[in-house]
Amino acid sequence: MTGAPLDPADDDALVLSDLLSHVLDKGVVITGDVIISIAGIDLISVSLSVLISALETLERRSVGVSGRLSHPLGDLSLLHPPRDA
Amino acid sequence: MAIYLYCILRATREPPLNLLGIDGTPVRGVDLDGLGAWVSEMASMTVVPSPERAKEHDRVVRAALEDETPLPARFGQVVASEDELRAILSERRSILESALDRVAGAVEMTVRMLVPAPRRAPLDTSVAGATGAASGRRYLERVAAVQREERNLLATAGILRDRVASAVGDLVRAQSFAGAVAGSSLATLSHLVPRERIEAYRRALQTLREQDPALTIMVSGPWAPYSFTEGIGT
Repeated sequence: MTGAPLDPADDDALVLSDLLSHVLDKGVVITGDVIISIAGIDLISVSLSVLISALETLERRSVGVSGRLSHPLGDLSLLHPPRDA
Repeated sequence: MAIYLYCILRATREPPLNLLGIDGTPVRGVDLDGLGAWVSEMASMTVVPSPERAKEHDRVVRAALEDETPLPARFGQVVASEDELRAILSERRSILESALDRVAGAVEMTVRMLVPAPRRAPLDTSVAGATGAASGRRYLERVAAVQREERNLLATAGILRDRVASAVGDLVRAQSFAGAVAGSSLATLSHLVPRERIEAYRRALQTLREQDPALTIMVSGPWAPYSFTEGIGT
């Protein structure tokens, strides 16, 4: 793996967003849909927005970044080549 | 006491000692006439979602994934009693067994792909501020432009999906795709990957990104197969 590591400041939010979009939106359903919002805020939409934002930030960076994060909630890799690749 | 379901297993298996679930409740195994499940007892039938509770749910599912691939339940699956759980799962027994066979020995890896926004056609400013027929035409032109953009986005997402699918080839057992929806630039491709091929799968995606400068992707996992439980639910 080349490039810099993931930005530690973003790690937890990114991993949590990925987790929310799995746990709240997928999996076996036996009792019908459950409420997925807190105080009217749709958690799945929020989590997907964070993921989009992270990828867009990566896209905009002048120097490409790739990195792998081993997190208690799961591994996560951002893959993007350097601009001059 | 209500019963909160975390995951379904091929056979009865006790969770690790002291494994805690939602709100710190102890997790225990349940024998469902051959199938197994991990559950907690809850005081209420309603579990309000929160990031902390979502992490607690996934922590239990991950503990099950350590030894054998379970079918993960979606957050918030609560029934009134163990008897009700047994009745519900008994009705779906053959579907559950097929699904467990399908995911056995595999994990889910998830690829998030940034779908490049299509180039937006410039608006016709000659009709700006117009009324009547002119404003009606302008409205229809905008609708048509939005529809074109959505079609382009879907087509681009499809191309990205095929590129990734081709890169990972027969390293995956199955895939599930959620294309970019209107207003979003994120497409999600989930793969069911045999455990022994996880590193080869990661290397294949790394090679793809080195070969394709236009690709921005995020890979996460291993997950329990959350995206491969379709057709089981209510």
